[in-house]
Amino acid sequence: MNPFARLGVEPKFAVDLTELERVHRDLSRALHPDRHVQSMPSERRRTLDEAVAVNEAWRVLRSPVRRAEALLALRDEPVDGADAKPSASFLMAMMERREELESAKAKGPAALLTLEQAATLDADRCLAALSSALDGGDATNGPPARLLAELRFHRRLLDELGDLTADA
Amino acid sequence: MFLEIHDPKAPPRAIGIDLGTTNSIVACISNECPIPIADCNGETLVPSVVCFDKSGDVIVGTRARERAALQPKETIVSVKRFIGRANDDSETRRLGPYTFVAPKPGEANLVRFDVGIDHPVTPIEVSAYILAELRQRAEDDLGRIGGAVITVPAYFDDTQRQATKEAAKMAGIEVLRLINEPTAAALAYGLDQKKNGLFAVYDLGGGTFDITILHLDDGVFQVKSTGGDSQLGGDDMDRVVAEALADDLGLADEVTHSALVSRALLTAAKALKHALTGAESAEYVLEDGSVLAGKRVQLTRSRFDALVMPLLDRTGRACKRALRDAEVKPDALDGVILVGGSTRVPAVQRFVEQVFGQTPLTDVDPDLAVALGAAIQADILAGAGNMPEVLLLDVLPLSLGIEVGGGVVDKILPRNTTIPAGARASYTTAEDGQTGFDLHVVQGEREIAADCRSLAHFVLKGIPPMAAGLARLEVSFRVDADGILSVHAVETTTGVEQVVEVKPSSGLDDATVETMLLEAYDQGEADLLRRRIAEARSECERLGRAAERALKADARMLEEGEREIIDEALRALQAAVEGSDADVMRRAMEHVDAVTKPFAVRRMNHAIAEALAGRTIDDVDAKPALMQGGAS
Repeated sequence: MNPFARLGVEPKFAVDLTELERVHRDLSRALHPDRHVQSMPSERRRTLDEAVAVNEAWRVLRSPVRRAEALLALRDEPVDGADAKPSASFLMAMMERREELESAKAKGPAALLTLEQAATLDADRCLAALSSALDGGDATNGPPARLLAELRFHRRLLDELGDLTADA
Repeated sequence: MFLEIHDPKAPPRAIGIDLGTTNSIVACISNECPIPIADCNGETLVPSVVCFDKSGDVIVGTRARERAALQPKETIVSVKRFIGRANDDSETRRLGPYTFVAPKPGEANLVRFDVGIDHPVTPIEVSAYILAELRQRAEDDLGRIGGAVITVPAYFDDTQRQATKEAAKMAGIEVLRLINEPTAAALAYGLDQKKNGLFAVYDLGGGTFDITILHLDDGVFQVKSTGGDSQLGGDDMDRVVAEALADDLGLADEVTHSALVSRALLTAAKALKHALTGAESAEYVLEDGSVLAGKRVQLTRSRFDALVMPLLDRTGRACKRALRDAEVKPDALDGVILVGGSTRVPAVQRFVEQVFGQTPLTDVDPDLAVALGAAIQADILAGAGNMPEVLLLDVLPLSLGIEVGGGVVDKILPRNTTIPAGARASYTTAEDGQTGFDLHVVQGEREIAADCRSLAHFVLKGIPPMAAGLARLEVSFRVDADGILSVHAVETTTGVEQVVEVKPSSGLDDATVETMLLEAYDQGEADLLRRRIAEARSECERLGRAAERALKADARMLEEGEREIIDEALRALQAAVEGSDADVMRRAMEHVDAVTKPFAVRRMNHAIAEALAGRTIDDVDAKPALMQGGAS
């Protein structure tokens, strides 16, 4: 079962996160092993399997990258096809960001924070483009698979920056 | 003298156990309120100390602690620091009085203490003695006990959790659930204060540190992230102070590291730490037992604070990471809860205030909160109906993965995944004609497998030779609500499969475990066969009650003729219970299980449909529980 169906939410990128939390909580109340310690063994096994599946679906839908992957899989669109390759100009921009990261490391925490803000803006813009490509069929920024690949780049950079600023 | 009479028909009561590094506590629910169970002197804390006396006696608790100064090698203090650890772990090289036994060739790489008895003792065995003592204390007070919730540090890995469960089994305790200490403390706090919101639990105990960020919302305790260090606590403060005292006294290294002197220094350090909680400076005269007897040592609070600062900085880094993992800024927290005896240290409280930018809450007893939370959860899991329905949604503390080419870890379940959890990954062969997969399961955050904790090594054999890249191995991970992993691997083109329980070994042979089990049981039940029958019988009874409950609640979901088949199976179950053949009972249970399966599926699907529709199942479920509570 796909994660959208499992949690009973409409298969689109812009999911209602509050509703998602509500559904997960209610399903956990019905299925969590703690609620079935005194149940029949057949029920215990099945509810456990189901609780695991619900948690997995919830984990997928909460993450923008994995949610986009699930949506593309549902539409039978490959995530690593030919049109998933980021453009040359995007790769150039990311290389520049990498260079900025190196020099920010040398400069210190303030420079890292400034770069983190800029990178967050990039990621947000990419996320908005991906959202309108997936939900609105907007092709101006490229195919969804490519935007997803670009989003992964942004996320990786932000993760690294987060590690550096947390230690600072 | 009062004689307490127990009602033999009363259902056995479930207990909560805080198995701590320094002290352990057992608690239960009494008059709808969690309370610690005290001994005849009114003492609630059981020092987690076990002394193996030369006479062959094993002494646990306060009396064992008194022996530590004179029998430092034979008296194991803070065994929790060693549980689930390897013999070559750094912990075995730190300042301390013990003698370790290296594993013989072919033996598991585990910590083994030489305590001067006929066999080396493992931390699991030592923990089992502490648990057996707590179980005895509970039985003296309550009569029969019906299972226990045992708390573990949130940051405990798979091996440490498994080892704790094995110790409980050795002590003859049925484990209802392992729960994380900070979550247990939050449960006790949340129910007591009836608060909702986002909280951080900073839990610095005798030997372990946990930080947990969680959300409390109408009885659902949702852990957002957890972090910590299972080798960081009050004991480490004692060690840095003991090392400083050794310097002050001008002791040579070999003197410091003798068993009697290191125990004397650690005891002095702990006494000074306690005194400095309320004073600016403190003095201590070393006790008998070592060459240092009668020597005077002193310490000011400012020097103590400077000595422990590096340890506090380590907790600070874990806090920042946990906040980041939870995507929470400190000012979004509604409160910071302090748990663990070490949070009494003024420098710790100041440090926490600085990290989180708010004054920590102090309306929680840092020693008791964990045990009380465990008792609440035990009561809920046992279905006693004394407590409001709450649900703990906890997380996996450390990532789980598989070693792939080049010794790199492929993470299958990342840290902070809500449990129970499962995930799959598929791999293929690297070489032509490869007939086996060597699978190495690891836990930890590092990218190289050698830097992570190795959980299991197993080989999937019997795959027919194929060209490289053609075989397809699917590995499934499953983490249960205790945070414990099982692994299932299957080669999909041929169907060769293997299920692996990732199990630690206590290092004891089965005969020894069995004797320990028997010793842990009452004389009247000191017969393994009879015990097995008793176990099967109570399982049958539990199944019978569960089935009756389900039939009563959802009779409308039965199909025509189904009721008769189920009733027939339940009658057979009842007949088996009245007999005395454990195998007949097992078969009767399997039959009930088989005939109720379709009904169980319908019940579950109905519950899922209700949850998806946004109807609160809780309303439906809560009523019978309340009625039970009201009627009793």
